[in-house]
Amino acid sequence: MMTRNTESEASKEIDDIALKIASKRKRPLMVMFYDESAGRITHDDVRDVYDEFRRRGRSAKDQFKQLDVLLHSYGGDADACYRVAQVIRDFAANVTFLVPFHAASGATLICLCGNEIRLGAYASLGPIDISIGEIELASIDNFREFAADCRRDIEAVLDETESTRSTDVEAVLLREMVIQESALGIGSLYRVSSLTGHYAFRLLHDYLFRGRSDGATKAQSIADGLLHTYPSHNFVLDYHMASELGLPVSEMAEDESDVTKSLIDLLGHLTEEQVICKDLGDVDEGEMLKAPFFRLYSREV
Amino acid sequence: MAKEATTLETQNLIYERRIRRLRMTGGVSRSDLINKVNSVTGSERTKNPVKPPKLTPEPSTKAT
Repeated sequence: MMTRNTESEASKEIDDIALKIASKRKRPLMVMFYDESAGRITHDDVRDVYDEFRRRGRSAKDQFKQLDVLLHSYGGDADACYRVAQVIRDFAANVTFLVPFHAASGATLICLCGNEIRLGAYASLGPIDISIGEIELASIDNFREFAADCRRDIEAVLDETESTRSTDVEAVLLREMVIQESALGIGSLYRVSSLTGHYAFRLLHDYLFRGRSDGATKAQSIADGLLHTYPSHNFVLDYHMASELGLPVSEMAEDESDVTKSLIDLLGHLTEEQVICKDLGDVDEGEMLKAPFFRLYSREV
Repeated sequence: MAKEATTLETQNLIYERRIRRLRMTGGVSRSDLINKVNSVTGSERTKNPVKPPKLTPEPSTKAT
């Protein structure tokens, strides 16, 4: 493993690649990196993202005309993601997200405030449905469909045999699901998912589709798609599917993809070495959390 | 003019502030803090319930 003598050496290595990206894209660059296993978007990030803009001399009254945000995260708290997205938009009139590897779940929600999302080779977004504990909204939606399919199949057989009997199989199956997962647990999932859907709609409507007469319809269609279309919270939403859904995605050219991936690789190594994204300890129901990495390269290149 | 924080100095600022906040809150999340504060308000409300306003009886329409 590579070792670095000083913090300034590590700073320089990061800056060199980040400035190369900014120079290539001819735009200022905000880097938001989270560790793969112990990085989560939290409410603390809202202040830190805001402060990073201010620290580099930016003001909401003096917005960037264009800004790139390089994002690498598996997501986190939906409310925090929405607030982070709004902070980014406070400081930039036009935002492009660069996703070298993945921006899943809550990170996808942040991307919805963008005018464009550029995906690296084999990069992916993800559904914004939610899971509480081990229960996923997608599992419940799928089970409901399964119960309805069972009822339809039995009704078809009853029709074929001209039987006068009816079936309550759908109700029985749904009752069993509520018993196993608890009515309150299922209620919580639906409450949080409607909140996530509302945030997604708001961001799409206010930024991507701003001023368009069909903006509300399009924003709702994408928000619904991201919440309910896919069979699992971990579903890989690649360029083709994201494009089909109506998201403003484009594919990076190979050199752009390579250089953005190389920055993520470097940040990953520095995290392993505990140079950045240091351990915050077991803070969330016993789960380890690491600090995120934020850095704005604000010079108009 | 103050020297601009380097990339690593910035990450240290972020880390130190989080550690300070964790010490203050004991790692309790924002939503749990909101719930905690509001559940106290709820119990206070139970101790001092707000009396519902008295309803004025509707005037009788019965002819006298």
